[in-house]
Amino acid sequence: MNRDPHASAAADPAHAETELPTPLASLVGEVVRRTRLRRSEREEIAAELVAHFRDGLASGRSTEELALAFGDPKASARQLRHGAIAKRSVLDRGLRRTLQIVGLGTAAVVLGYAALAIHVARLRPTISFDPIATYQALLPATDDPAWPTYLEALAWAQSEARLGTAGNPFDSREHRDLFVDALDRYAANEPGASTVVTTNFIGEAIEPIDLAAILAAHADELALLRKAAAMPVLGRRANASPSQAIAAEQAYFGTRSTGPEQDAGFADMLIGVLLPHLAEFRHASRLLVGDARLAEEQGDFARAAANLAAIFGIARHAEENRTLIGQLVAAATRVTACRAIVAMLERSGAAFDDDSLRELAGAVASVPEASLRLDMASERLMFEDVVQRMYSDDGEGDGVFIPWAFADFAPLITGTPRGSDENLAPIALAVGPLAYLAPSRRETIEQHRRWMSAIEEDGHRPWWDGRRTVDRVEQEVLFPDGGSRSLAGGNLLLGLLLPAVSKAGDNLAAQRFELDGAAIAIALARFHRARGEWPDSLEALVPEFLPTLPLDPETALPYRYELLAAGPMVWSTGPDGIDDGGTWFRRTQGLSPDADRAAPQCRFPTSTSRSPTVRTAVLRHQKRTGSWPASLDTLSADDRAGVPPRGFTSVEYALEGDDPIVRRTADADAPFTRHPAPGEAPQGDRILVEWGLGTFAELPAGDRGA
Amino acid sequence: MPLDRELMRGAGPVAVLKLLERREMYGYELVEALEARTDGVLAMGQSTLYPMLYNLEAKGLVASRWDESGPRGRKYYRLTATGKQRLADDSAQWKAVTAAMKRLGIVGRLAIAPQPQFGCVQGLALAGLSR
Repeated sequence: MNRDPHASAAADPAHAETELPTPLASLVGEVVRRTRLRRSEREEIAAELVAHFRDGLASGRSTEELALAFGDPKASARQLRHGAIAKRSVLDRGLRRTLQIVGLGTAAVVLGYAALAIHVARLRPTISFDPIATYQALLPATDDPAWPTYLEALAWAQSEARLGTAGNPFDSREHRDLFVDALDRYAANEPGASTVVTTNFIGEAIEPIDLAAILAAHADELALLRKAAAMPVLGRRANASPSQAIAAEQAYFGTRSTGPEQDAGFADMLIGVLLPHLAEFRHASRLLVGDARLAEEQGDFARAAANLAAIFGIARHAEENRTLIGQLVAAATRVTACRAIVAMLERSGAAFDDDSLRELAGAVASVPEASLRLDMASERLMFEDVVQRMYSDDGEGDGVFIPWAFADFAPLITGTPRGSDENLAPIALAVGPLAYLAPSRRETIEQHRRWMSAIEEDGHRPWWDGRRTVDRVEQEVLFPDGGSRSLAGGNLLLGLLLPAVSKAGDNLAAQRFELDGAAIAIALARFHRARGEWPDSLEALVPEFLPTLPLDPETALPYRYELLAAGPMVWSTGPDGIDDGGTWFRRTQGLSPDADRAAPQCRFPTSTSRSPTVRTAVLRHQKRTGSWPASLDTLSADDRAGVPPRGFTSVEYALEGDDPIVRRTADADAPFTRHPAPGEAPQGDRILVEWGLGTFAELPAGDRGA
Repeated sequence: MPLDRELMRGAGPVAVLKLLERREMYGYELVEALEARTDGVLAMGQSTLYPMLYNLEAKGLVASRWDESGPRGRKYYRLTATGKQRLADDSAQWKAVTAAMKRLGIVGRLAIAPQPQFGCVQGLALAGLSR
């Protein structure tokens, strides 16, 4: 722009009109306007055109002639525009081009996004199957359901909790907890536990609860409870909403906050199905253990055995609904029953008659292998029900995630009533197209199926194969290549709805120890009744008192057995696979990572988490020579490498039959101490039976909660 | 005879550069000169000339300045050094083209044939110019 500023008057198209004949002035105005150039560029062109026409007029040409010679104003404006733009700097033109592309691109993206948002907003999920009906079809059919009998048998206990509110400051829930706690302590024969509770948790005086008197007063109902437990099928339908609830159940749960009268708002979904009977089953099994304790005091061992055997029926009914929580409740009640059986036999095994012992043995043996493994049938159904409500359906099993449908179910996660999150709808609409980034319906369902199958498959792995740590299932089964539950491979829905399976499978599998312990204890009691003495080994129980010899899941070898002065003792090596001679293993302190082992036949772990021990040296010798050392003196320098010298002075070694036994010297004086010494790590054995010492005060605190 | 558009696109800029070779000129002057000195063959309207001048300016072949000293403001264009080089190159190419055309019998016959209004010498001079 090297033009003289004095020319600006001529450059103004409006000014030009006053100096040029109207047709030419308007021609210049039109051409310049059509160029759509910048103001300074338009001024420059106008000035030049005005000068041009003035020269033309001055040379004597007519207005019409000049206008005609000018040509088409439209084409002229276009060419002038191209010419003027060509004059701009390279940077200027580049920037203009970039802005054009960015502008066009942005417009295309915005338009596409809006179109997609509208498309997604119009998507509707198709409810292709009725989850409740499909779920009901999974459950066994019966003409004679046990559930109404349960309601009848438990109504008094429900009333007991309610009536207890009179005259004390606790509401029914707290009173029930107090009642349950007293029952547990009584059943556990806890030292100092009274049959009459007169104070609450904080030591205040309350209306006395005489457990023995309460249980004795309800003998008929407890008999009814045993009858209900013996019935083949529970037959409780999934009563998802109050309208569907049977009258008896509604009356039963009338004032309870956990009853089905509390409408979850998702009654049409499987995820909204309430299972209030499971808590009642926990309560019922406590009543039976408590009454077994009372029967033991009264010398009625047939009733004691019948009560404990009945708990296995309750467990069977608890898992009938094929839910994860049902299975866990079943496992917990079985564990309670097994420990009660062992403790009662340890205390007064000799008082049980043959029929009662056979009844108990039958109940313990009735537990199928399937009850020790996760069954994800209803979890699958529950998930696919959620998917059919949050994904579109193309009719071929695939579809797109619908964010607004997900927003509708946000209360499931937030816990607020359904429909209260309407303000999420605009957000859901706005983020709609992002749904295409989410995994598809098919991918999601297939991933879930793979996970569920992997979790079920994991239940078939032997106990010794794999560490029993909290994260094991997630780390080894679900996310073997890394990743975590919260990310869930980028699938939000899967991550949110993945059940807490981390310990569930192991908890179910761990029933094996309790069932084996109870079975062995019953067999020992029957052996002693028949022979008047204890067996020399567990093998002596087979086949008359025990059909087969159960193996320790930790080692796949028979459980360890010792005959002490007070009676026999049976134990598992515990998760480290090391036989500590029956040293107490505290369950409540969790499982140790030392549970690794190379093979079930190996008596000693090949642990990498700590320095080599005498057991490692013995194992090295075995690997090197193919046989166990006769004594520690035969170990070579290579075998001993890395083992602290004091290790060899603190243990004693013996080859008992084919089994090498390494025992701490300190243990030799009191080889079967039940509790770890102060400061000692909670490594040790899992005691299954210890005759003459029986209490089951070791019930983990977690088993006491409702 | 007005020139075909494609031919004009090739010939127009060289003609303008040639006109500016001797002295600087303003737009109307260029229009008139093209009309007069090419017998109207290379005559072009403002709608063609001014965009062409802008393009030549954008390529740095010509430069412009406003002159307000006269009674009317005028924008003058002059040849730059780059423009001179380009004119030399283009002229050489045009000579080559004309020679080729001549060998093909397209240019030569027309140029050598004496026109009624020109003398024989003038005709020969024209032929010489185009060599």
